[in-house]
Amino acid sequence: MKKQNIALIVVICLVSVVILSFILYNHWPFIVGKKIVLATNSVDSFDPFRGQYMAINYEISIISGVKEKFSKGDSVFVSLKKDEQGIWRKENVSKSKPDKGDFIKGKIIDVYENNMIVYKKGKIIDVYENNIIVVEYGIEQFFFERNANLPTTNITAEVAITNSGRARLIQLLHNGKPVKIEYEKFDIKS
Amino acid sequence: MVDKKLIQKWLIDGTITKTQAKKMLVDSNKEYSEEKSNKFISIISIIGVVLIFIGFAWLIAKTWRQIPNPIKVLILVGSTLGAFVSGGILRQKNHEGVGRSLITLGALLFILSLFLISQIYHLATSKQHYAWLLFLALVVIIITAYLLDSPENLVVSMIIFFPWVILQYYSSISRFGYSLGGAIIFDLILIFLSSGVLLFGLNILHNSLEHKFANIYRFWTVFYFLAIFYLLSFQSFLPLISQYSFKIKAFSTFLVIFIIICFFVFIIGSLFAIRKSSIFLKEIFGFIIILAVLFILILSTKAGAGLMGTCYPKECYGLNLTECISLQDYLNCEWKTDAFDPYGRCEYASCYNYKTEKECNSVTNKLKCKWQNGQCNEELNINKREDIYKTCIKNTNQKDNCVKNSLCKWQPYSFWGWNVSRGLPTILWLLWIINNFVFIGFIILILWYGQQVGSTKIINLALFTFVLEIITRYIGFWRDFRGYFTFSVLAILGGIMLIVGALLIPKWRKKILEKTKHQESLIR
Repeated sequence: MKKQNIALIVVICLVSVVILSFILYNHWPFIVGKKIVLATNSVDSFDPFRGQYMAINYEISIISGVKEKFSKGDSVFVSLKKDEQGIWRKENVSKSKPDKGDFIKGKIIDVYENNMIVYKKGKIIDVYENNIIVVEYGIEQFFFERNANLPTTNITAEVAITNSGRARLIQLLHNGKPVKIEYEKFDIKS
Repeated sequence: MVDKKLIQKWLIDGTITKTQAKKMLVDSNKEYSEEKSNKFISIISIIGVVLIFIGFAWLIAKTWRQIPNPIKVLILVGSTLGAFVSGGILRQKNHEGVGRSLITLGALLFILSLFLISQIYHLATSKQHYAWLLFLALVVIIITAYLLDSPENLVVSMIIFFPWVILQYYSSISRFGYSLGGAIIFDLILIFLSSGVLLFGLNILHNSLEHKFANIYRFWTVFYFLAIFYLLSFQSFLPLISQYSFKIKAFSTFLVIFIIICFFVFIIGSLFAIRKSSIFLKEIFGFIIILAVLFILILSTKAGAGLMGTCYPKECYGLNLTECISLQDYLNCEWKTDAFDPYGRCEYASCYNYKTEKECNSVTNKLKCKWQNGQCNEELNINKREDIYKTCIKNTNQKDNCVKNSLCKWQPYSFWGWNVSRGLPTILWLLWIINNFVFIGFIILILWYGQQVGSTKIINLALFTFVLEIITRYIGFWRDFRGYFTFSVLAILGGIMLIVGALLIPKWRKKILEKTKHQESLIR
């Protein structure tokens, strides 16, 4: 076999392996993960590289009353518990991976220290730790076609999480049902 | 290609016969027209590649929902693989130009595939995520460039390298916020410098192996070094660079590792090349001198650190008793004590504080109070205050002069708060002049280097930078010297420069390129 043919085959294999691995890595939570529903607040945005997307702000994106000390860039595990509405809400926050229960892994992008100190006769008698952390889970964006319309209120997000806490966004729900996106009519000139 | 003049010379010298000369000329012309035609085909196919790339990129940006996600991936991945395969096959069938273009299309579609998959899986839009995507693309495309012997793919990876390194750096410091100010400019220069060092290391390594990619690495080395000199030629960047410190957080782990890797590759490349042949020693030595000059220029900005700031007139508020009394006549200050402040404070004296004619007329300080229309008015000392203000503000960005004047106070600028329109501190101004001279000198050096290595691309890049430097400085002067007279003088000068430039630069370019092409043909 010619040297050039071998090189071509290697390139084809390399490109295929990289793309397939990339797909598999991102698809893995859908295969093995558990489906949960998270509460959201949404805003619109636009990404010049990859089209239009909705930036999603989750209920667990900003967590207050955190006792543990965190700094920017730290990994955080948020334990979740299903409530009576079928939405998974924050139960606990920790630096280490919880042994049991549902949890999601995120990265701290901001920390605000909001501690309350109680003085009596000039002496500190108590400190209430109330750190606020801003967390990113990698599921903060939902891409859709440009100029399409979709509801922005009463939105929850269906997410798949793996055993390690890695999450992937499955779909957005409006009043508990998959959102209906209103697309513009296809026009060859659009 | 054999030069026509050279054939004639050989004929006159009797080195070749008339028949041989005729044959050589015919062959040479044939080869020349074939080369020209190949070049044309390459240009046309590259335009085709760019169009296909833009088309796919636009479809991704539009988020084409008409097609299910798996089909979208199949189309893009299929096109990527198809482009590589057809490119490889066409090259083997002597369609070199089209084949190479298709291989490049494969690389570009591979980048788009990664972005498309990210979109399908709603992956993060953070700087770090884009940095990862670009890094993955960079590694794979470099491998394809070597395996498929595709210089175009190496150029694509060089183009990706720039946004990747910048994104990765900014992502690595984003956890520290954006308050790093001027240090970021310093780090940007360090990134360019390290990139240049890395590429020079790769250039010399490939050159010693007589690998054809050496020219590409050489071109990009020159590109990064010209970029650094260009950054250093700006007045407004010098005070920012002067704020650098090796202790600040802008020195992220990524930056440190990146710098180490770059210098490591340079050392390895240089050692390898020297071991192979001592002729590389001169080039490496020259490169180290340029590096040293750059380091001196960057480090010497430190001499101007903290010298940028505004020189304001002092205010009465906040002065102590001694200062208050000593500046009483100049700033109209008075020391006031009352029940709330038994120690006293320095305040501005004002005629309006005196409520009766008797009090008003009894004021003995230099306020020149006068009772008029039932109130105590000030025969203003506005002119005097303005004079003090003018004296002080003149010393903006001149710390020593400002501090010497007892009526003025020095307020250093914070990051990004520079006001270079009031002039630079003398040391930075001198450095700016030196930097621009060194920059011009470096461009001339690159022109010479381009001729030596027979690279028309390097010469074109150097000429482009020369024109860019002239235009940038011209705009800078225009901004600095405002007013009708300066405007008209600069407009006339600009016009003359354009006309003379239009006449001379193409001639100069043509002359250098001809010489370089001759050199190029001899090297071949």
